[in-house]
Amino acid sequence: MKFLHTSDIHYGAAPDANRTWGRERAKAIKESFGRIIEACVYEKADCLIISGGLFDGRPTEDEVREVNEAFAAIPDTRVYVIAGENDPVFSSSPVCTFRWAENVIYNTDKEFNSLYLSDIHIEIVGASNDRNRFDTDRLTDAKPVQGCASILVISNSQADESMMPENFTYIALGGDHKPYVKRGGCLVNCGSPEPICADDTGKHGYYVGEIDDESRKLTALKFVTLPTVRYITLSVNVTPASTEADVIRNLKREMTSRGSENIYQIKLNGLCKPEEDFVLEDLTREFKISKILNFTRPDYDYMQLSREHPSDMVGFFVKEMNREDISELDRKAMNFGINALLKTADERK
Amino acid sequence: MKLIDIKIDGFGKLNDRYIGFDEGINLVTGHNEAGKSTLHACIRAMFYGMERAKGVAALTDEFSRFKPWKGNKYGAVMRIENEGQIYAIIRDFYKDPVGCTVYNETSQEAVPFAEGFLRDALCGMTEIAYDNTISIGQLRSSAEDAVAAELKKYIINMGTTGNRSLNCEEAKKYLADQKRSLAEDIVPSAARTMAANAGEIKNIEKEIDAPEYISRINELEDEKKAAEQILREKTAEANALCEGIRTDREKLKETGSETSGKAVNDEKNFQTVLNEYREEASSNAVARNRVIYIVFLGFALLCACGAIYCYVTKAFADYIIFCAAGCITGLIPGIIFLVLCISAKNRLEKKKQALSGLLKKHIGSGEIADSAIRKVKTKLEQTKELAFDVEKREKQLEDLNRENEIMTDRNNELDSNIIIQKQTQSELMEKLNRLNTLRRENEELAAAIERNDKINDDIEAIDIAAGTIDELAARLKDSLGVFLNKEASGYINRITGGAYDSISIDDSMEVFINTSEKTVPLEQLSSGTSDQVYMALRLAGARLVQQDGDRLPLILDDSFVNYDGERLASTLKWIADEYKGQIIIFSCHNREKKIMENEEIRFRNIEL
Repeated sequence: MKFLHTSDIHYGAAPDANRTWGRERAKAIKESFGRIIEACVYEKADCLIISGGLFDGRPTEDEVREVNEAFAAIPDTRVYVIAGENDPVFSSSPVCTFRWAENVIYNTDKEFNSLYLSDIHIEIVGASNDRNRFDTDRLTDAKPVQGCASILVISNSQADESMMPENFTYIALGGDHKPYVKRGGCLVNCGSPEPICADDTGKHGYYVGEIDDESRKLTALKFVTLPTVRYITLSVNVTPASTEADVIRNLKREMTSRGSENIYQIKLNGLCKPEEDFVLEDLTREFKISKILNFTRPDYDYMQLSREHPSDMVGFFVKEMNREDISELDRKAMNFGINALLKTADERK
Repeated sequence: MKLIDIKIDGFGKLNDRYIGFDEGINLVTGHNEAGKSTLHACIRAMFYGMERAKGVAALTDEFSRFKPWKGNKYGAVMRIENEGQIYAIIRDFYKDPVGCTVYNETSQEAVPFAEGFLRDALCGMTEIAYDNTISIGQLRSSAEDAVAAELKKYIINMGTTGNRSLNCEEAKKYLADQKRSLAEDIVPSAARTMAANAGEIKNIEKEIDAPEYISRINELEDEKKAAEQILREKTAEANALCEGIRTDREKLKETGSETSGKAVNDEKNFQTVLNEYREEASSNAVARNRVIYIVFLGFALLCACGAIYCYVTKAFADYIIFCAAGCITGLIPGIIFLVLCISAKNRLEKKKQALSGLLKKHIGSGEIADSAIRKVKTKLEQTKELAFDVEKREKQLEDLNRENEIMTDRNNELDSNIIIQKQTQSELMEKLNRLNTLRRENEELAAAIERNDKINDDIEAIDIAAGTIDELAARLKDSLGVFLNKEASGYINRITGGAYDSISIDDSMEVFINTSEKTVPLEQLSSGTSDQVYMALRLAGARLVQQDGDRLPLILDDSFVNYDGERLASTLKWIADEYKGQIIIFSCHNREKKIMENEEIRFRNIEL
């Protein structure tokens, strides 16, 4: 039997809502969800497994209806959903009282329960998350009972591979936005189909798997990348010789070659010329830059400074503050002081 | 550290010159263009190298000014003694970059870090400090009031920063501006808002756990649909029943027996009438029996016969008896009987009429016949049954209507329940939306808090920097005060031959020269005394900078130009006594020479 595995869709989310590309992101999330639904038809999937995170937090009735409509449009695919860490189930949740389409099984039970789909000979064991932290002790309750191929569905981003039970054909994990595969494909955290925040770098998509009824083993697993905007972190190492123009030029080149539609986070490291200020304002107008982290430090040669100013404030100041084990805070203070003293020295001259 | 000698290959107007120095006082004399300043500049260049400016400034920088007039060598070798060892400092100014080598002649090896060595040999003194302390020129300007101002500026800067060109008030203002612009980016009370939001989130989550928020709309609507269907059916039923009742009621109205009671009565009544008639008819039969008449007639006749006999026989007594008997047994009963018969006949007739009337009423013809009677009986029974049936149905209808009413009420209740549920659900949706909003707000606030923290770190660092500057300034000011009080005062005392005792500085940075009796502000000193004070301070400053180092050579370059003869003498004497290190005096006069010879101060004369 063939199945699609996805999770952490965050349907309805609006990441970077206060940035210029915010609305695109919200739309992209819904579109990727649509693509997965289409893929169920295209791949003739018997089953679509959503291991948590279908919604972004607490869904509105409209969102539940939209999603159900999408599910209802693929009546030949059984859709199995659990509530994840970020969209936990609670007693009055519209998800619990909603009349889902016939092919949808939204398992709202917090205890592990087993569902046997006789027409495709598959047993699905899963449990939803409530507001409390995932209790890993519960995993001992997760056991296949039917004797046919079985899939375990859970949402827990802190999952430790060693705690996962061994006797399932496939473990569909959710909770972590980035995809990873363990146990040769039998334990898969499929990740979000769309990156949700700046930390979700790398590729995103969904998994398609095949299970053989007879041998009860996973016979195929492939990752389908979804064409989407990426979050990319660029690290720039500056030197005392770098100017703001250099840095801007390099970054522009890099961001253009990687794609100006992507969203960038820029980290600046290293020692820079003390007067150099990396504002990078031009870049924020041309490209999508979500954050600029400036970890550069001014390149003062403290030894030289205290040599050049042995009997004046700069020298005294450096001598006073510069120690072997100087703390980060004191170093910053020293740099601020030196900068101020040197800058105002010129004025008096 | 002492200068031993200097061999100049080429430096300005000096070319291929050798000059040796003594360890005590050296007097370098010569007319104005002999090259004394050049020599002094060369010594300085040997210590500190030469500045080479770029661009337009290169035309007038030091390097250009002292380019050798003759020959193609630009450099010198200067030998010094430092801590018991003899070193040769070798510089070639044409080499670019200009460097220097230092060679330890005593141990016969090159000194690896020449620049560092020189710095140490000069007790870490920078060029600027050198210019301000051991290399003593004149008090810069010669205009009277400017002298005092210059002196004061010198004193204050020596005290606060040690270096004239730095001013920490400006630096602190710079830091304050930086701090202010950083603080503008802080999001105020971000943490508090976030905590408040978290509290609200928790409350709302608890609220939505209440069972009333679990939506029962689907069930209720199903229930309502089913109930409405039933109600519809039942109402149809009731309507049909009503219809039937109405038709039958009309039928009943026609018969005249509108209630079952009446019908029963009618039936009973008919039966009674019928029975009475029948009874009457049968008893009449008896009455119609003629035999009785005959009997009575017989009796009457007998009696009449008797009576007649008696009459005839004139047995009046028996006649009466026979008449009486005849009346009694025949006439009177016969009359009575006749009356009875007639009344019975009347009765029968009446009964017959009654029955006939009823028959006519019910079947239209009054003819009394068994078939007719049967018909009427059947009709009455049917009517009775119909009446009962109608009444039964009417009761059913009543019950049904009542049931339907109850059901309608229940349906209305369901409706209002559904409305309430919908309201609750929309409340729930509002709460869920609020939760989402709060969550997103908190995400942004978390980012803001991170930024705030970073800004606060920077602000803290700025505060530390400003605080340290303040601390240092205070310390230096204190040490200036100490310096002025201890060191400089002594010098002033001695250099002015006791005319002044001490020098002090108050909180508003006003400087005073004091005697035991009065306090004189700096501005009021004569220029000559100012010169001496300046000299004293330079010396004190030189000592301060050297601390415990080996005494550096004091270089007095045309320092005494403004001194009068007497002051010059006392100052020279004082310097010779006071300063134990090497002293090099540059002068274009002979005055110094003469005075030192007179005072028997040992010195070496170098003529350029």
